[in-house]
Amino acid sequence: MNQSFRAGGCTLARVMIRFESVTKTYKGGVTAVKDLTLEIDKGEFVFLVGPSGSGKSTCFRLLMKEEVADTGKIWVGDRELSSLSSWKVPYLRRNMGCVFQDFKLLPYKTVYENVAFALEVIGKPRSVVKQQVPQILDLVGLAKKAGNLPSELSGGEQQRVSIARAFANRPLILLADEPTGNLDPANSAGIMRLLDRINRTGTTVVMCTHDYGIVDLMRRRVVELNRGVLVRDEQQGAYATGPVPVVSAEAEG
Amino acid sequence: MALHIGYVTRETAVSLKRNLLMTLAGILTVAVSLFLFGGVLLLSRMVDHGTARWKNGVELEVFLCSKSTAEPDSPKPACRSEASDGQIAAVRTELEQSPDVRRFRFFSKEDAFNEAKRIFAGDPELLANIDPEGLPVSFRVAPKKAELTEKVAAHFQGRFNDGVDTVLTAKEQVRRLLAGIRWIRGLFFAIAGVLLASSLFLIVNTIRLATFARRREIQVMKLVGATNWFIRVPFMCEGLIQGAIGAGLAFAGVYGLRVILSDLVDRSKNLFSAFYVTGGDAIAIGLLIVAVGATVGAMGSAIGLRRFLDA
Repeated sequence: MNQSFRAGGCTLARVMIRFESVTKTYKGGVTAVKDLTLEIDKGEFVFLVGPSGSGKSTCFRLLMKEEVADTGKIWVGDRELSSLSSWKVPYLRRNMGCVFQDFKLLPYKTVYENVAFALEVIGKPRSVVKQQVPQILDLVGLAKKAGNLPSELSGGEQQRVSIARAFANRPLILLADEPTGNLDPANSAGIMRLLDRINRTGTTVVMCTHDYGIVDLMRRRVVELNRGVLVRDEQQGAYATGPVPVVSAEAEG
Repeated sequence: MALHIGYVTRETAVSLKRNLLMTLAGILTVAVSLFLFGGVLLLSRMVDHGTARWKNGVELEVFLCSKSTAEPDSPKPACRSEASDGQIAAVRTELEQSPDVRRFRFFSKEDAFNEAKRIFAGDPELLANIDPEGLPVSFRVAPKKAELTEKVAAHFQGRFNDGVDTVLTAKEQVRRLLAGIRWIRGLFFAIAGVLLASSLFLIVNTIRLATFARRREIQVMKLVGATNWFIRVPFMCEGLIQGAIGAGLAFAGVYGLRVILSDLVDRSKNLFSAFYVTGGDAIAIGLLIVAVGATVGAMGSAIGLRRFLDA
């Protein structure tokens, strides 16, 4: 199942993610995403910016099929999500790694166990787990901390563990929801180097952020949402076009 | 998708230990309710055995002489030889022509042996000692009215020369006993039902607590794409184990009850000798109990998990 997804995503489509006139209104009447049309190619690195409540997280939830769009269509690879039956959703998620601001690590499991858990629960054989986990920990630079608990690590290190977990199954897409939100600039820079490295292996990376320093420094494609509407889609963009970007954006939102 | 047996065992054990008290409560309610349930079934089997003859209005049974009852040289009035085909046909004609008989059924040696086979299914040794040829043929008779029973019985009783060995009638006491037992059976089934429902709720609650204790893990599992079945199986095992252990205890209880009942029946030789339960009955009921227990356990987990897994 996983393999078929992989094949579909890799070989048939140039476009990795496609939103076509997608609208999502929550039960309370809040429209989180309004008529959004967006294409992200395989291997791209995209910053998703915009004030809080502009619909960035909803986009992620729609991609994971945690939420279903009211109207419009969403493709991941060559799969259209509204026609994806619910029992296939786990297989969809195996192609997407997720990283969050609050890491979501299991506190009583060691670094090694946290990463291994993600592979175990999707049914990977023990031999594969034993082989892959050290590789991934090496990639994120935590090979020496494999036996530590998350509470014994710095924030930056914890986020590395969470990236290792998200990337352990070599997903096609990595979704990062404000991964540097809890980190100091030095740690943030380290995380960005890591995400960049993962991107260069061919993985499509989409990252929500409010960290204009990072966006301005990296100069990648920037997609800006405001109240659920796409207001900017710019290659090698900056965080904002205006002179005092963050303050005005936050005040509006 | 491969399920790691090690993984499932580990997760199930941890979860059972974490909610030890709730687990014990679940096990005990399952055990008590299923014990009641099984006990009532056992009692019902006993009554069925004891009253197999007295169904559908049958009030008396006319036994004809058989090889084993024939005593050619007895000084007392008794069967001299096995009833001949002519004698059997004569009794049949009499029953057909009697104005007091509503209907009757002929029971051949083969029928009698089949019934014995059913009754003694759990005791093959005893069954091996029964000679099918030695069993008597009989007529099960339903009179037009229950009050006519004695009249019909008296008509056939003691006619050894016509090949009739003896006539058995359902006694008034047996009838009253049956009515009473039916009532008790209904009551016990109701109690067992209520207890079974409460054990279901207890298991649902235990599983809810277990999922709540592990909600972070479940969240991560869903995030990385574990299938719902993968998430569900350890919890279902947990419920299943509770149900099965409870059922096992109930099984032991029912088997013990069977021994006690058999002992009581043995002591009251005459009145209740037809009311017996076999080891086969107890085992059949036991298997049913284990099946019900396991189902309740698995159902409880499924209900307890529903909220967490609607993806």
